[in-house]
Order: sequence, then C-alpha cells, then structure tokens
Amino acid sequence: MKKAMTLVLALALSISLVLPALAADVELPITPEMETFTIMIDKEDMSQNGWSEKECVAFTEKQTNIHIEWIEVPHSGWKERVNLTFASGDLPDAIIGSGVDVVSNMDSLIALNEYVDRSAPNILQMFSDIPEMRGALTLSDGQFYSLPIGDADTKNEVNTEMWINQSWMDKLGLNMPTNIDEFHDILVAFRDQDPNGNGLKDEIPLLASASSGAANIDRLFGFFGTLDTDEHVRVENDQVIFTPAENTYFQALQWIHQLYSEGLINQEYFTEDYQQFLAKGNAETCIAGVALEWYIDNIILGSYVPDYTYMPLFDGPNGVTYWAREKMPQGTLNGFVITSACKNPEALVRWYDYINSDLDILNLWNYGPENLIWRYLDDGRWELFTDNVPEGSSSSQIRRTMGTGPRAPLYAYFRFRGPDVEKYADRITGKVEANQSYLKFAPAQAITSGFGLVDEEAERNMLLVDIDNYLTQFKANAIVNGITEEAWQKHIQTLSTLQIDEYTALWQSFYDAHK
Amino acid sequence: MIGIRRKSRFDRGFDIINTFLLVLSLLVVLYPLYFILIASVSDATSIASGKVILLPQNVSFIGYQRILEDQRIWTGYGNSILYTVASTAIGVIATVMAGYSFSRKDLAGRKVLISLYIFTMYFSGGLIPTYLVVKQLGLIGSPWTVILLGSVSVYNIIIARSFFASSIPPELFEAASIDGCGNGRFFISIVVPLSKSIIAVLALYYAVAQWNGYFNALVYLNKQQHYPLQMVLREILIGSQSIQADVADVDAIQEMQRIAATVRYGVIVVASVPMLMLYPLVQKYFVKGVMIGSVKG
Repeated sequence: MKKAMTLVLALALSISLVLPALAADVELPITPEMETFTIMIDKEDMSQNGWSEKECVAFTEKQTNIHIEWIEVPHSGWKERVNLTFASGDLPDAIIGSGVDVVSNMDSLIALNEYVDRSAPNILQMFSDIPEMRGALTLSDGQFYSLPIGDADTKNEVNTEMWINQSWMDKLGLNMPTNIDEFHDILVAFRDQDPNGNGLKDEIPLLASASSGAANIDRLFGFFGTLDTDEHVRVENDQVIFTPAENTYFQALQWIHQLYSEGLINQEYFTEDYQQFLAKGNAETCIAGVALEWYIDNIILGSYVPDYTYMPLFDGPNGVTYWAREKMPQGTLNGFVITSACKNPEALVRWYDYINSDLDILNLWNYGPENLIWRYLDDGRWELFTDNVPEGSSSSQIRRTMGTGPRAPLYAYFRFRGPDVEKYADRITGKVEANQSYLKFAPAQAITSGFGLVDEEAERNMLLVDIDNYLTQFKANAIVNGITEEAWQKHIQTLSTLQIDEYTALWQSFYDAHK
Repeated sequence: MIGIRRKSRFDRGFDIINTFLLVLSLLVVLYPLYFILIASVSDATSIASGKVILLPQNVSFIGYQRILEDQRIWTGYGNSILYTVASTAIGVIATVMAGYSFSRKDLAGRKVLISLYIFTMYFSGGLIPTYLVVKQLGLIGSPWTVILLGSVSVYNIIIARSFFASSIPPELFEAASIDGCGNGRFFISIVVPLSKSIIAVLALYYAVAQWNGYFNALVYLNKQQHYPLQMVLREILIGSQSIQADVADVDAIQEMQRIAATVRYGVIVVASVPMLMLYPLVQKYFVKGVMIGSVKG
C-alpha cells in the first residue's frame, strides 16, 4: 500500500495544479504580513500524516498569510489534554475539536460576536441560513464564544432507522406492518418459517445490540408515544416530560419484554460486544429479519444489502408514534474556540470564514484535492467517488490524510452538502428516503443543542449519572425478566429519590431559554 | 528399573500430581499468548464467532498487512527504539550511580537523602504541576520529555542499592584504596564489572517500561512524527475499528470492520516482538539479579 499511497500523493499533486477559485466576498490576504498562530487540534486516528503536510493547510496559508503551528493531539488523549491546557493556563490561540467546555471556560475564551458581525460574511450567511444557530451558540451573557464544525448532513437528521428484509417478506407472502401486532406477527414468521431456507432456526427476527448506539432498541419505546433518549426527556406543549416515569413507558417495556421473551429480539442483546454483534450481521448466511442501524450496510454483508428496505413507521396503539431525531442544529457547536492568548482574534475568525466561504476550499479541507475522492458533475453538483481508492485503503483514510476530515475549522451544512448541491452515492439513496420518511414521526418540539448556565449544566449532569446508572439496570431487568405492576410502582418511587423533578425542571429552564 | 523400584507409591503419586499441576499452570499461562498468535492470522469472523480455539481458521495475513503497510509504523518503530535506548541509558547510568552511593555507609547525609528519594515514591505533584514544570523547562512538544520524564525510578535505585550492599563488601574498597585506588576508579574498574547482572536487570526494567509507555507521549508530544510505536499502534487499532459512514465505499467500511479484530491481535504481536527478543539475552542475569534485589534493607 505504500506504493499505492505514493500513487495517491502523486495524483493529488498533479490535481493540485488546478487550484480552487477564490471566493468572491472574502478579502485576501487576511493579514498584510505573515502572522503565526498556534492551534490545537483533535487528530483523527485515520490520518496518516501531520497537519502541516496537508495541502489544504499550505494553500490556505498562501491565500491568507496566516501560518499555523499545529499542536496535534492524538484522539485518545484529547479530553485530558484540553482540560490540562485550561487548568495550566498554557493556552494555544485556538482549539478545534469537540470537548471544550465552553460554559465553564468562558473566562479563558474570547467572545466572537463583534468580529463575526464586522468581518465574517460567510458565518453571517450561515446564521441566516440556519436561524436557530446563533441562539444555540449564545451563552447566558448574550455573547457567543464558539463556532460550529463538522458535517451537518440533512440525511443524518434521523440517525437510525429500521431495515426489514423485503425478500424474506416476499418469500413468506407478508406485507409491510401497519400496526404493532402485524409487526409482531412478521417477527414470529421470521422466527418460525425458516426464511433463509437453510433448515436451521438461526434467524434473528430483530437484530439489535446494546453495544452500539445506532443499534439500540430504546427507539422502540416510540411506538407507544414516549421516547427514551440519552437525556430521558421529551417536550410536548412546551412542557419537558421525564419519559421513564410515563405510563406509556411501562406499556412499551411490557411489549419489548414480550418480544424478547418470545425470542424475537437478539437474545444476546445486552451481553455481546460490538465485534460479536458485527459477526452476526456479517455471517455468510443472512440471519437478520429486521435490523436497527444507521444504514443496513453497516451491519449486513454487502451481497445481502439489496434484500433490505426501510420499514415505514406506523402509528402505535396509543395513536401516535415518536421517533427521535438528532438534536438541532447539527454539528459540534463547541468545535472552534479562540482563547484569550490570541493577539489577533479577528484574523482567526476571518480565517475560519475563508475556509467556509465556498465549496472548493471547504471540500479541499474536508475531502482533500478535487478529483481525488470528490468531483464536480456537469450539472454543477458534486459527488464522492471511489475510483482512485487503492486496494487496502479506504476513502475514509484518504479523506483524513489528504484532507482533514470533519474535525476541522469547517461546518458543512446544507449550503455545501445535501440533496441540493450533492449527488448521493447510489448506496445512500435508501438512507435518504428512510430519513425523509422517519422525520415525519419526529416530535414537533424537542430539546435543541446549545449551552446552558454553568451551575445548571453541572447539576443536571450530576443527576443524570445516577439516573442513567439506575435506568440501565432497570430497563435490562424489565426487558429480560418482565415487569409487574408492583415493580413499576417501586420504580416510580425510586425515580423520585433520584430527584427527577429537579432534573426535569433544569431541562425545562434550558428549553425555555432556547425556545 | 532400579530407579523405578526405589520410588514409593507415594512418590509416584506425588510426581504425577506435581507434573499435572505444573503442566496445567503452564497451559494457563501459555494459552492466551498462543491464542493471540493464532488469532492474529485468522479471519475475523471466525474469531468473533468463537471458532478459533486450537488452530488458526481461514489463515489470512490481512491484519499484519494492514498494520505494516501503514506509513506511520516505521517512524513509530524508529522513535520507540530511540526513546527506549536513550531513556534506558540515562536510567541505568543514574540508577547504578545513585544505588552505589547509597550503599556506601560513609556517604554524608545518606539517611536524609534516601528519605527524600523514598518520599517521592509515595507523593507526587500530580499531572497538572508536572505539566507546568515540563512547560517551564520548555520541553512541551519535545521528544526529550518522553526520554527524560520518569527515566529514573526510585524503586530501581533501591534494588540497585541492595545489590551493592550485599555483593560489594566494604573491605573490597579498603583493599583497593591501600593500592591507591580512589572512589571513581573503584566504581568504574571494580564495581561496574562485578554488577553486570543488576545492570542487565535494570536495563530490562527500564526498557520494558519505556517501550510500553504511551502516557507521556500522549500528554506532551505535539507532532505525529514524534509518536512512539505504542501510540501509532493505538491509532491504527482505533482507526481500524471506527466506522466512518461518511464516505462512498461501503465495501471498504465492511472490510475494515471485519479485519478490526485481526488487527487487534496483530498489533499485540507487533508491539511485543522486540521485547520478547530482548528477554532471552538478559534472562540468565534476570533470576539472579532480581533475587538479590528482593532482599531489601
């Protein structure tokens, strides 16, 4: 692969002679003389080179006159190093990557309002494209201290859908379920009627695993009109509700226990690790009837992927089904911060603004040089392609070596990607449709991403630790062993000792502040 | 025949049980090592589904290929060897000198000095003060941090001191000084040649610690080209496990997920081979040196 990598490098070099056009509305260079800044970054494990060797960095330096000394922190030490940096006061000029606690380190950071309003047309455009963004970034003092980074792809607004084996359904003469009883019957048929035809009862009607966030069965609670998210809350009529105390949650638990006890859910759901889960999906014989995943090819062997389609949602027994969407606005909101050590914050804000000024420069960072793994189409859209990926490598790796990947000073929202400007690869079309279909079931109101008050966030997180510990145990027990009315009453009492009222009130105040 | 007849039934029973227990404990220790070896050349689906038990299944070297093809690994190897050699040299020299000094009863302030040394075994400033010291020495981001930080261990100094106290009698120095030998000459010409076993043991201790260490590198290094092997392997391992659903090539993603397990075992082998090669060279000193060191005081 060394040879292959050299080939890629040579290709990249030859391509780089065709440089991206300059963005119209950015004044360059940013500083008349070359100025040096130090920036600490969260290095991707897949990146095979240092940031100073990347073409986007050299190109941007030439255009802007801003030279960056990179502090490359390995991802596994990132959180520790960030905390150490703030604790010791040994601050770089800026930090790029998630994990900066903006709220509690406010004093060491610089408010960006003034600079953005004065000299960052592209950031201002992003604020007007995503109206809720400015509010989400703003802290309680009315200033914002960070800018978002990352891929904010619209097709990922719903992270996980249910994928059902259409060819098994055809074989057994089944139709898409329209209520949970039909869904249950389909799972039973998958279990009993040997749809993969190998004579063994090796089918797993519902393949899911607690070892993966994307394959978690917590989403099934939605069929009963409740939700179980990481925060354990949902919003209805501007009221924050703690869902594990709802009666609908009790109903959902009983139903999920029924599925589990009848052998319809992966029986090693709670015990297996991610590798074992993958081995099940990747088995030579297809054994999954319905799978919960970001996309079916994340878990199923490639040759079986065409057998699957997304399972359209239907209203549950309580007349409503909820399916959680990702928190909006998407992206890492605390991704780019400038610290008080920086002598010329305006220059760095303009540097970020320049990188986000148009698709050429943004993709040069995000995916590397044009025509390596991304290219323009005749109709003006762009696409990712894999023709240049050498054997033994992957686009993921090339993306993070020749470019930076998404942990960089860029925010790829729908102006730069998504159905309007990007042609999705064929494999993704299923995901795009599923995402559209599932979005209709997202609750109208939800907790948004954003920053709260220092004390409130600390308090909330502290309460959440205990609540989480308890709920994980409780849920596993209820799903495996079933739950009685008395056990549910006891559960409600336990919850009150875990101060869920306070916890919910804290979310309510967060929600009200960001409404 | 005579030999067998002489053994009583009890002796024979004892021998059988003894051999059985020893073989059992050998297997218990050896099997995990053996498993890593066969798992590293098996295909990943067989490992995850528990088919790899005694022999490798569907032999493939894709894990090793993936590891050794990575450009980072050779700089990582180079750095690790450099850091290990430099830090072991510094560590052994300082430890032997300090250990010998403490073994001499005529060292002025010996009790106070040794108490100060031992104090550091129990109390340390913690991460943030250490970070500040390193910062003020101007060593953040420099490979010297990895070489110097923690290159001398008080525990090893005590081992060395016990060795010298028990194997270099004071009379030796008296005899040498009658012939006109000073402290420096005595240390270099007599003490060091007599202490090969403890030097070998200390070198192994320091080398293994430095070779396996990654924390200092994690916290203090700023550039990828300075990363030691352990950190490179860690990156390859995590990089091969993480699912990056952000790109177009589904085959590569699945391929990566599949080989992740093989890569994990391959990484262990790649990281351990140099130390395993070093061990036989110092083994003959090892037992002796450690036994002597274990008599404290």
